Amino acid sequence: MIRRIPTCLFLSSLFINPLSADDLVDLIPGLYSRSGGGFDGAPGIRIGSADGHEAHFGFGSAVALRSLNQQLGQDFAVFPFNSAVGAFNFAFDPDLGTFVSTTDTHGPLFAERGQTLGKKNLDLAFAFTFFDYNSFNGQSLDRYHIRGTHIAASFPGGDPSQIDPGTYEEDTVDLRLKVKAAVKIYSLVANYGITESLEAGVLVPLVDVNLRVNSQWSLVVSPNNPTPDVHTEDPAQGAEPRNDRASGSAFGLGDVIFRSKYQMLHDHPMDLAAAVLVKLPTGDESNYLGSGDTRVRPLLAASKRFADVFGTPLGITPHVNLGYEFNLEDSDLGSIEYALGVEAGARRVTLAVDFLGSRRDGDGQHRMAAAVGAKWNVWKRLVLSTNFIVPLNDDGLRSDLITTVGAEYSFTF
Amino acid sequence: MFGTTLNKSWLMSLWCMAFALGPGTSGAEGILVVKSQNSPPINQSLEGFRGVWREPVREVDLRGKADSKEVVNSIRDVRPDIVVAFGPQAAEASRGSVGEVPLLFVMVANPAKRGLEGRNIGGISLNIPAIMQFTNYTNVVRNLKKLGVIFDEKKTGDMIKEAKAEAARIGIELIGVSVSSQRAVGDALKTLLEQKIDALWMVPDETVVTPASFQFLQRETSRNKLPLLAAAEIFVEKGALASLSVDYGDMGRQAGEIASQIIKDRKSTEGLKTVSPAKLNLAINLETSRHLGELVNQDAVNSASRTYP
Repeated sequence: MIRRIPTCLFLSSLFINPLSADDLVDLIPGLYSRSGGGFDGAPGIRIGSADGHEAHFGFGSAVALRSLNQQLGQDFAVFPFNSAVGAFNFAFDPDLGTFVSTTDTHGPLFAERGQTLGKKNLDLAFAFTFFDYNSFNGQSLDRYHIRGTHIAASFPGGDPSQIDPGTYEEDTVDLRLKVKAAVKIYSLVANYGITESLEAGVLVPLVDVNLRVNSQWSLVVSPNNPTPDVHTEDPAQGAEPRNDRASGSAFGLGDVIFRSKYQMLHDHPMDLAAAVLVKLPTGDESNYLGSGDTRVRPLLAASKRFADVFGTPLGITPHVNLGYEFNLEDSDLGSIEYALGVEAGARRVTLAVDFLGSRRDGDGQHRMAAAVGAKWNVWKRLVLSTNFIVPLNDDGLRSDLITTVGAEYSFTF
Repeated sequence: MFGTTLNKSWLMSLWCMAFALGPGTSGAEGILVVKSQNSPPINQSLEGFRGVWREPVREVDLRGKADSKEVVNSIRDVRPDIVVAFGPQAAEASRGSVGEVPLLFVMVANPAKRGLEGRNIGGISLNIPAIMQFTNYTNVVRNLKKLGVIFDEKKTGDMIKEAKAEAARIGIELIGVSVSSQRAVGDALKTLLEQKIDALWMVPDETVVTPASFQFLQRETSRNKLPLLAAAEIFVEKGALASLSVDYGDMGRQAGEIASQIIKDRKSTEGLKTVSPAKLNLAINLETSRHLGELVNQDAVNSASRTYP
């Protein structure tokens, strides 16, 4: 599944020596692992030494690489759940003395709205989402730098991070990674109105992950090092080849999401619903197809429909969501989830904007993004949609642009 | 002396001129238009009105509130010959403000229940009289003799009682089954089917017509090959056979003609009364029509104002 290619300093441009590993999750930690620069299977780099001591640099880089790797694992499988198209809704207009259609927009992009589909309505949807990850905590994945520190001479036995100051142990290694992480998600969604106010649904994603990593290390000699020649990048003196790269891909079932929503208030003073999303760890965690965690997200969704705005056939529906996602395996990964947005549209076309936010408990990571898109009712109850998500801040593993195109059709039985 | 005589003659001439030109020229703009809000139906109606009455009018938008202060102030400023109110809030706000000025309302459902009757008050109701509906529907559904209806006695009982009498006038038996909740709609339809009705008439009754019950009625009438005559065009789009609806633009045109007769033709306002919409739009669902086959009159389908899908 994975090809791993260590490259010798001198022959880096001439030879490619593919190695295999089992899973994508091993791809980044496996960099430079041939020389055993790290500990306990962690990634690490061994560089050359003039005086014959075993110059291991690894602990700091291992932490950074592990962090990146862990974040990849957590975020690769995170994708938005498209909102379903509403069913045929109407209300009696006492001013006009007749019934008027109240489904004047086709729903938000990713947020939930306060309405439900209605009894015996089935909504089937397909969505194709594609994106590349571009940055991690604000640092470009094209030039992702990690600082590797010397492993203390006292280790094993002592604290490996307690280097001896004023010695060669102050030297560091700069590791530069170029990570290309492309994701494609094919989502199949079904939602069904069990009663007028209760609906249930399922999202089955098929995830295609393509990961390629190029890396290069360089030695940074400390000015405090009284023996600046003790460490060297020279492979002849035992240095790890400076360049390494690995790539791999995986395709398969992602984390399946079950959802249910119950509408508590109908239009007066707003539409209000309570929903719960349960994400099961059905995706292969070791290949970034799933998070490996069971997550439960209860949330409240409110929306209010305003028809015939400014005397035009335009309808506007602002909506707001607030919920909490419990991670049943790791409470530190629980997060507050919120969304705020508005849909505006007439009979056939809906334009929508969502502001999406997620604040994680454990590390305080706060991811904010904006989604803009459109839904077009092309024929009967067939709705085509396209939308784009852009990040509003740097926290976490982020893509500059997440694009989704989709189609959905609703049936009434 | 001469001067005094001249002055008297001049004043007399002015008075005569003013009388001859009528009340519309006594510093007034002729018509004060009051609209409930800036909604598409009201704007369509207003457009129809302007198509007939092309002279400038003072317009007041109540923005959905039956605020009579603004109307009173405008009447004081404009001193109109007639107030034309579009929508229920405008009509209700104007009713208590017009004094002796005639009030012509447009696009008001159930005007009598809103107190819109009496001397100098008249207009065009949004309600389509049952007899007009039955007459039109006999052209759509062949051999329409037994018409079923499900209704809530508390909400539309009076209407159904009147409709039964109207139906009988043209040889239709209107069979009604009263329900007190949406849950009873299924049994009510079963009762009507047992009575071999020729079509089901849907009335604007909020107890009976809900998203769930409509879906049920649409499905069951289709299964039983029973024409469903809907209370609004939106249901035809979703599978009901036919509906009759008012034409908002034409209602405005109708109002424009009445106003014109009062101002330009100096027709007395004593005879102002509530009238029905002059033009109705027949909507037909072609798919349902094909499904019902011979039960539906093809000539009526061909003459429909709007067809679905």
